[in-house]
Amino acid sequence: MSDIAPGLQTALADSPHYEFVSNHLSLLLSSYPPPFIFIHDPETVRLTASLVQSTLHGLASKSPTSGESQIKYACVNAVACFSPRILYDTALNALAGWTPDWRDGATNWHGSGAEARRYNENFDAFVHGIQTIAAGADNAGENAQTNGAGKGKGKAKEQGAPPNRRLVLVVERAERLKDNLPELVVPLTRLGELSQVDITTLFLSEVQWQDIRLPLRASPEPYYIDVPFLIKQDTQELLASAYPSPPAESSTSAVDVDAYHPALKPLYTHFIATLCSTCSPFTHDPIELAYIAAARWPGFIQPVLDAHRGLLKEEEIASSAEDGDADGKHEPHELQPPTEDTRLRLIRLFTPSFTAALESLYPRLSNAMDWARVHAPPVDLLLMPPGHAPEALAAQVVTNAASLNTQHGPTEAGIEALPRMAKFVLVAAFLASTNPARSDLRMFGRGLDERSKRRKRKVGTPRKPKPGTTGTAVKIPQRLLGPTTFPLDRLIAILGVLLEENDADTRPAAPQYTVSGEYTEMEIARVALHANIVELASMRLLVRTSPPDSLDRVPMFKCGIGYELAIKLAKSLGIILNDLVYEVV
Amino acid sequence: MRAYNAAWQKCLNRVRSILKALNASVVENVVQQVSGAYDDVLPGLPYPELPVVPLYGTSFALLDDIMHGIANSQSAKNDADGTPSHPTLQVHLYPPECSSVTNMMRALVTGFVDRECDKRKATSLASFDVNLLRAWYTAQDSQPRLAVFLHEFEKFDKGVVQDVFMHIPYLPLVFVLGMASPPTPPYLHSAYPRSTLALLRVQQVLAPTGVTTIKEILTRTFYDANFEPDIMLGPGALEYIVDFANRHSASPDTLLTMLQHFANPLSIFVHDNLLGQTSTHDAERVLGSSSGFSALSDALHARLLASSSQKQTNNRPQTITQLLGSVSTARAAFHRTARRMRVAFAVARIAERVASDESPNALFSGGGAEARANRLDGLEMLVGVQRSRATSQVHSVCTAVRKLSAAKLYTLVQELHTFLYGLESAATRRDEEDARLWIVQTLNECPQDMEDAQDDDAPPVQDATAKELAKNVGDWLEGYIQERLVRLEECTLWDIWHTGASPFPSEPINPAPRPTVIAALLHPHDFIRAHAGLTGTAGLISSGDEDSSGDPALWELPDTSIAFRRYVEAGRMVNVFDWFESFAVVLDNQRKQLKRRAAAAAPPTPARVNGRGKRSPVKGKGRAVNGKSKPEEHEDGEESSDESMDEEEEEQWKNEVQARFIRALHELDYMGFVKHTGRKPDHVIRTIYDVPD
Amino acid sequence: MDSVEIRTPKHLLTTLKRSLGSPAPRGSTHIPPLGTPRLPPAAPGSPTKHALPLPPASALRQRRLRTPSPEPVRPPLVSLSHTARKAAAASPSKRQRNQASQRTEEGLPRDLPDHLHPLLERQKRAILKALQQPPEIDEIEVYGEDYPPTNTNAYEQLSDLLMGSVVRGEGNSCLLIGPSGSGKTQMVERAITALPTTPIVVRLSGYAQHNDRLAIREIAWQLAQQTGTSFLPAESDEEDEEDAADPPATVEQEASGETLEEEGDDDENPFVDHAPAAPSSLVEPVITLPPPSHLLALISMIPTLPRPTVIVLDGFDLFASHARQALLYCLLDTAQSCRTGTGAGSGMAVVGVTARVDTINILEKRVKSRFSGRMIRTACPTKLDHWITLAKAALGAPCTGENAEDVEEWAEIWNKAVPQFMEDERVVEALRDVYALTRDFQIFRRIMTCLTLELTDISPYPTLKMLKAAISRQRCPARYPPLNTLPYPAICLLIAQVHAQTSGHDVFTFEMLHDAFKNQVRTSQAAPVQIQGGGVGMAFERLVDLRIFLPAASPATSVAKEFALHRCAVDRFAVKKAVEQMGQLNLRKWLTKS
Repeated sequence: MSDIAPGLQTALADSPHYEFVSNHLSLLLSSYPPPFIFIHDPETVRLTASLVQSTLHGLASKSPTSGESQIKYACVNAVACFSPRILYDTALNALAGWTPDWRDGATNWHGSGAEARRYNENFDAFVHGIQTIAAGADNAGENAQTNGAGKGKGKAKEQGAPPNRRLVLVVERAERLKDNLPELVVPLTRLGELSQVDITTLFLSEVQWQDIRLPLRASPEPYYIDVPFLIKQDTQELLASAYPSPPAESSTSAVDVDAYHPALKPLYTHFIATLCSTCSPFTHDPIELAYIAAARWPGFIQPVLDAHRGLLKEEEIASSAEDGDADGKHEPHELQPPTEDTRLRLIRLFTPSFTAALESLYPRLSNAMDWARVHAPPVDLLLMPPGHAPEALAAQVVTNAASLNTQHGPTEAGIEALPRMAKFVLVAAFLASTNPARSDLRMFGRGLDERSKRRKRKVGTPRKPKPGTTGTAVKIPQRLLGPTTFPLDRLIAILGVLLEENDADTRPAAPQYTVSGEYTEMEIARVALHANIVELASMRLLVRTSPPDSLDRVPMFKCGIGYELAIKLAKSLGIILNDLVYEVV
Repeated sequence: MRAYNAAWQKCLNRVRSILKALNASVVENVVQQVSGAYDDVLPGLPYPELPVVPLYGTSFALLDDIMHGIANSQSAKNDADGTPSHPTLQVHLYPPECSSVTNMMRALVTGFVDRECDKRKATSLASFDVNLLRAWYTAQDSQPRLAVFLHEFEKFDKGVVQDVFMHIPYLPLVFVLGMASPPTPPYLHSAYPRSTLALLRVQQVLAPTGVTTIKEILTRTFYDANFEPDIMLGPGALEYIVDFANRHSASPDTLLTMLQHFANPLSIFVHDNLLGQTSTHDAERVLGSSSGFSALSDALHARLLASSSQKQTNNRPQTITQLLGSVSTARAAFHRTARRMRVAFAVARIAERVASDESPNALFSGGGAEARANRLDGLEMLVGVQRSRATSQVHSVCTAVRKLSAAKLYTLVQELHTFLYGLESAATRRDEEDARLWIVQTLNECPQDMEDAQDDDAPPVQDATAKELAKNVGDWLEGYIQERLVRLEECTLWDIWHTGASPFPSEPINPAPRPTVIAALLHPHDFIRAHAGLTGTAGLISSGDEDSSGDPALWELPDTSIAFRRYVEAGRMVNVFDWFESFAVVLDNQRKQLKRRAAAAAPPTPARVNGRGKRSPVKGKGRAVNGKSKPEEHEDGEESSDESMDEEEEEQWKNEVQARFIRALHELDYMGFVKHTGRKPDHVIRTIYDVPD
Repeated sequence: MDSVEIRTPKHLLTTLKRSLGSPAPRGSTHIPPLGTPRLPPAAPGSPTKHALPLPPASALRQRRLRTPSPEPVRPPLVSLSHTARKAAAASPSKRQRNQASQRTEEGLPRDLPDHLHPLLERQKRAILKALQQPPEIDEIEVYGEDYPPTNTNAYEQLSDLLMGSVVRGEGNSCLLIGPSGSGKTQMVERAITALPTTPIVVRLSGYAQHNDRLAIREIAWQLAQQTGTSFLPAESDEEDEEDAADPPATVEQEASGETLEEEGDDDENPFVDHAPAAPSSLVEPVITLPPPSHLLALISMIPTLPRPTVIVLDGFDLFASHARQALLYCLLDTAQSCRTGTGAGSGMAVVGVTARVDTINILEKRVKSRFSGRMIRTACPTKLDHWITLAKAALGAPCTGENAEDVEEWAEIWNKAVPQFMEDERVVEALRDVYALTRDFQIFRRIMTCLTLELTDISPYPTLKMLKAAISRQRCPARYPPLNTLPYPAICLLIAQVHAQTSGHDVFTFEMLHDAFKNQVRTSQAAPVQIQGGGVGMAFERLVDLRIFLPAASPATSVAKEFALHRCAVDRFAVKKAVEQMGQLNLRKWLTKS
């Protein structure tokens, strides 16, 4: 899992909200830790993880005083360590402060023994490695180029400073351990007693311990630390204090250089407050909010910067009008935080776009960069009359989007770009997996009379008298329960009906087919059609549920598109879908 | 065939180049996405994101273009700016090798790392450990960009990819996902949970696909004034291609396969009449000598006669030389007309473009869909032009041109001018000479009234002149275009270079196997005839089949067909023994009939053995039936020889019936009409039910 | 080393306490443990308990206890004597306040003077330390006169069993059964360290060694380590480790473990070239492990080692689950044979530690026949007073400081605060609740730790509130985050799910909920700015992540995300409560609709 931006980290470190956790941890770890700690944080795991790491880092860097013991820690991610060997390697290397170097074959930390020992073959070896590290032999690791010297140093350390060192093993996203390496959960939690050294295992997860632990109480109960919830206030302070440092000049980004000018911090605080109040009903996650903020802020601040530039330019002119010390006069005009009413104007202007940002960014329908590009405001927004500003904004957005699209090439390729036959197949598949098979005859019976009969009959049948009144459960429409599987033949048959009724006229003339429907018969047996079906399956618009290799079994499929999409396709083909759907919506 | 190859090669290269040109934008887009992925990041993001480039509508050509593009761009950039640019290393992952997280990581890591020799011991990092990759990366002096291509992304296991995405920090990795699915509905968003998506920075890239590509290719291959294909696609073929593209699949590859099909027996003359020989008289000799060519020369004579009789030229080319000469002239004429047509078409389109953006809706009274349908640059119009259906449209365009305002007119003439002078091939320029002259002089008379049209509100006089000018421009255009948009069929020997209205051979491209086979089984004789017609082996089977020109009785059918008929009548599960019984009944009937017929006819030559030997169950129906029609006749021959059949005859007959039934059954089985069931003994299951009779 | 010197004061303290131990009410009969399943049904040892006098082993241990005080000549010596004095001062003061706590109630300063803040920190550390190495022994001695509790009894049995095999070189095997948290492991360690000569100790755990192969490799490794060290001058410091009284086991082992380790490390190269005959055959396995077939022979030669061997099998029942119980068979067989066999070999003891009561029954017949059927039971503390005294002792753990008067002042305050806290009826009540639930010592330790960590400069004294919070946090952490903190769409989904449930669908797909949601939005313009699809879908995933929605069917690749069946883990009342707390009118209306 990728780590947190530095600004946010520093903000975390001194946020009053997380003090509780960090204090507990540092006090525990520095004094007499229980062998197994479990930190539970349902909301903001990543923040907590970075916090824990920074705390541990602080503890480790602190030189041990007489009473305490020197702390060495390793953070492993249960997702990254999908195999025991990786877990062992990562943990040991981190504990020994050893970074494998590519030039000497990227070897792991191998104790201070004369010959390289493997500590990653099984759990016992891992424990031995830990014991060796705890015994202080890892100074050899730090300069392992010369083993002999390293060992000597290790021994020297033995007699010298108290060798008493405390190891901490942090496992992030511990809930994944249960899936990936279930056989390691218990030994890790019992690491302290298994390896007779002073080591603390620290699990960090957004799931409660009782969801992770194995049955039969094989592993000891942890010492629980629950991270309290961020209330809105805390979130705001956290984000506001995480005001990013101005980007380095080298970064050729779409954002104005001094968008994060320190002078704008107060404005940023207000901005964050508004943002939080707008978005908080939908997400509390500080990371998400920060993401949205990062996408919105440049555009938000752009007018102010423009205004400032304009000011500078005038002043340039003015100063050039009278002589010389223009540069001297530039200093005072550094870039003032904007005035109150400007702030209000900006907020009023951009508040609607906050929700827009939330809608497109929170589900990641678009990424922050593109969104920021698209929603960049027109130049000198502040100069134009307040009445026109909003639509100017909107217009700008449209133009930006257009430009972005053109640069991204033709966007014509959508589901509309599918070939006609594929569209037919999709509609047929949708019908096949929403309608019950028994209703096919009714639905697709040839001839208008049956069709009309069906419609007459249909009003009564599928609907139960009154939902809830009868003891039985209410019937859920199939399109909510998800598509059902259907054999290929059924798909082909329905497709035949659709083609016969909606496609017959568009075909190229084929004199050789005389009987009515014979042409369709041929069409639905074409190779290209089956090729289409297979291709759709590879696009996951059709889902193949039967194993692809079995020849003699008839392949089963499932529809991959939803109702709205089906409606759209049907419209484009001139099919009235609702006549063919068993349960009308 | 050589000539055909040459012609095809020419087209192919053309198409390739067009495709490449089409893809160029996408390629450079992807390249800059990949190379610049880590250069510009939005500041203030809460955490670094993992750049991901889903590439929609990928084809292999596009992919290697991209790969080369990436490689080249690096080198180019190295030359261009002295800045230490980051080379991009690529790794390609395919679904099968990424069945689990371990495998995927191993493939990923080793893909990068194993570029150098590795001296890794058992004590070193695991080969599927991302830390190994990091160690390797830190060892690199030039920080490379690591591009990972995931091909056929939809086939990857979600969980695996999720986990791999989950932990890739601190390495400049860029993932390029080859997507087969359309960008809407987005596969990424429907398949992956938000927690994963939140880690990525997805920037979509759309490759040009679909009908537009096809249109581009077709127009610029066959209707581009600057390119001369040796063979002109006829409306029939074009029509089919267009329809196929709309209906089934509009991918360039299928288009290519289809284009390959314009073969023609006469296409030797496509290129040059030298028949690949060095000099003309060699050609004569060859043409005279080789018997194969003599027939061909006859055909040529006939054609020339037909065409020349139409244009009442009385000189009949006697010698082969004249023949060849006339062929070459015909070719020249054809190419000329084709060229003229292309130019005219191009001109018309220019005119239309200008006119339409002048007044989009005034131009098309109908407006909306069908208007767009019969726009000149519509795909269907390509067909229409050759069917000379375009005239009405051309007319409307020209009328529109007549209504053009002065400024528009100016631009129009300008464009025409540039176009006509931009023509590459000398020949084209030559025979567009007059048009160019005319354009020039209109251009000369355009400007001055352009100025005073612009300088102030145009006085009615100028306006009148402008109208006047517009009018005769329009007239000229119409005349010009109409004159050139002729049917290519008019000129002699057109069908050498032009696959005319003849329908495209669709069956080989898009066959319908099952109905064909069933029909073959139901009406074998029709197929025999068709087959015979194809392979001129009519003589072989004609003997048996004159009288059965109508619908033949059941007993006349070959065994397999008989068995199949019975099969059709059976229920879902067929009891093999009953089947055999009914089959035997038919055979007895057949025996009687044949005996009766044999009484009339003289016994034919016994050819039983090789008759049996010739039939092979695995061949298509035609062959099998050829084989079959014999032995029946033959064995009734020996029936006729002695009147009453005694015991061993009886016995033998039984065996024969059984053998024939077994063979028929096996043929059906081979064609997959029966499925064996373990559930009931000596029963088989039908695989097809609704059989049309 | 310093671990030792940290330890020593506490032992002086204990002895002091023992000397002036308060006579607790006599004759209080041993309450059989309430039917908590983990406890053995009825401690069989209990009848004999009253008979037992104070064991000789502990007696001679006490004698050894006093010797070390001159031994460590290091700066901490100051603190040592210091603490001794403190403790002496502390314990009587505490007790005399016990009956007079009401009077001193108002004696506490509301807020701590600043110069005492560091002392609070130290106090916290001291308490944590006391919790980490529990002052259990004092309890047993304080209470021990009227009846030796189960553990003491068990300890005696275990120690003289070990003594038998270490001193008299017999082969023993026994099983240590007791609920988790009843101090089994600790007891074993104590007994081992209490032995006159250091045996070779092989510790195996059924949790780490999943199969016999791993176990045997581990045995080989540990044997090699210890036999390797046994000939070296390591003797001396092992001696004084023993004289230095028994520090609580874990840390002592860590210390000795360290010494052994580091020598083991630099001994490896000597072994490859020149090695004494006996260990060399054992040290091979470390460097290159021979096949398991050969390794099995290893066990049979354990008795021939120069020193007696103690093999501790933690998670004994798990070993019983190995293939054919081969390892157990070999071990027990060797033990038995070397009991009967020649006294030449040094003794070996196999100590199985398990929490399963029926472990003996899952042994195969041949294995059981080799096993000496000796089962020693441990039990959790059987009286609440045990905990309370523990708590008192832990909280009252003395703390050291630089300048004496600060310490005095602080001790004054603190020693008022603690009893006042402990005498509070509700505090006892709260503790009793926990105690009635489980007698695990661990949970007690966790609660006290949490309580201690809560102490801050603003509220320096333990209060009932803190205790309650600590209990609730440590005993049964909340299953889910409070629902009312969920974002708006999530709540909407929950409500929709409640409706689905009332209409008879316990399993639901996202589409169902979303549909209901959309209907609701359409009918009443209740919802604020509508997030189309996306937001709700995200909320659904969130709920799944929080395990509030549980997948009802195994996830199949062919099933699209929004159609995967789920169940809800929270009931409608919880949802109702959450909605009430959120206090959004429209939501409440929707919930109560229909």
